[in-house]
Amino acid sequence: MRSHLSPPRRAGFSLAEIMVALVLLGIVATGIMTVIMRQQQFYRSATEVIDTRQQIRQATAVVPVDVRGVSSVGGDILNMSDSSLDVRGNIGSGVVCSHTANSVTIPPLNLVNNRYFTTFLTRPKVNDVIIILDDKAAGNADDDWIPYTISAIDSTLGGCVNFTDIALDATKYRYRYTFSTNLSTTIVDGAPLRMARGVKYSIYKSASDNLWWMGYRECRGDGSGCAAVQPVSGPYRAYAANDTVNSGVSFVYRDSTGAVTASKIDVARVELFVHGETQSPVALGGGQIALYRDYVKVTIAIRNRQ
Amino acid sequence: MNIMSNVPRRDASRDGFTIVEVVVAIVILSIGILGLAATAGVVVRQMTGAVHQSVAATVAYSRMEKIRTGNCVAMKDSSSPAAGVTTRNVTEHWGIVGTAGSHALLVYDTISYMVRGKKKTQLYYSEYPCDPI
Repeated sequence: MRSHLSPPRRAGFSLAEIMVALVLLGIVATGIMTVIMRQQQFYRSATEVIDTRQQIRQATAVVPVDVRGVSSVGGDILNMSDSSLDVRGNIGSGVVCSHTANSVTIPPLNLVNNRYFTTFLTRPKVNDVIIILDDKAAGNADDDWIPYTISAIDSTLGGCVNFTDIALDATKYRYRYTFSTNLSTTIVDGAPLRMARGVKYSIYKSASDNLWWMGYRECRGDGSGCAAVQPVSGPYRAYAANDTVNSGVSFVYRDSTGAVTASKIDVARVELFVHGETQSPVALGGGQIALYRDYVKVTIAIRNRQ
Repeated sequence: MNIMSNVPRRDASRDGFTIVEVVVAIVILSIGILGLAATAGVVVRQMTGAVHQSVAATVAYSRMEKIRTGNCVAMKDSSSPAAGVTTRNVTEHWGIVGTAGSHALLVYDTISYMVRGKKKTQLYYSEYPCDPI
């Protein structure tokens, strides 16, 4: 037997209950939305800040590689200013195998018995520079590295008997570099040599995006035939002349006593300042919205210095 | 026998949450949301720590490079001023050790900095080739 004959009462919320529920939901939803919006803003800001720091660090990672190995006393610094540095970077090394008045022949790359006298990062081209040790008179005091500009490159099977096996290396081509000037008469077979090409780092403003980048370009070893500048890292803050506190990139050159020097052969260390900032204002807590700025200063000691 | 009519039961139409239950639920939800907000603080702390470490590494790197430009013999067994040198809020103490007859200088650089009132220390060292000392 059923206890109710009439239709059951419809279960539901009263208007007051709905109102209270909506108000509470509104308050909670507003809170949640605020938190989520702030989170989103915060993570976007954090990403921008991390990007900026990364860009700054990148400049200090790429420049030392080329700068460290140069010989300031050997004339490897071609040009230097607070916004750019133009050096001869090493692209290979070897020995003089045989020579004439104005050319040298270097050993082939892969000699028998796994001997290596020649290594290339990139093969030199005409107008690159080969720097050869000139032993001069007895003793070390007068030794000198002398740069010669390549005017012609040939490969030959002749010459270079000193470092090769007459039978087993006979079919291996060797490079002969002819120079625009005559060699010093005191350069001997067996003298070490290194090959160099100009590399230039500078801060420049890109025409396409109007931002300031660290640019890199290669030139021939004598400074001619420069390629177009390419961005290697950035963007950074705008360039400001002789301002290590604001300029996106600045170079400072010091001699071995630590004094600032303008003399290219006296440079013992290079200080690189890199200042970056976020592309848009960021908020990292506290509700303060501003451009985030950071900088890095690194010192690069030149290995072959006075 | 009618079992239903003898069992006391709640009024089905009034079944629901009490206000206390709802408030407790909201409080728990809020704590959860606040937990989400708190992750921002953790990220900020980690980023600050990363900045300190990266500055410390850069300062040590620059110090090593500066020492490299110096004269081997003159630098042997020298060290930083007792109070250390402070750059960008990190303090460094370095020491240069040369063993007689060896062909290398050992350089130690201890970097210390404060993070939220706590002192953190990192030790970097390197070895430089040198003429026999």
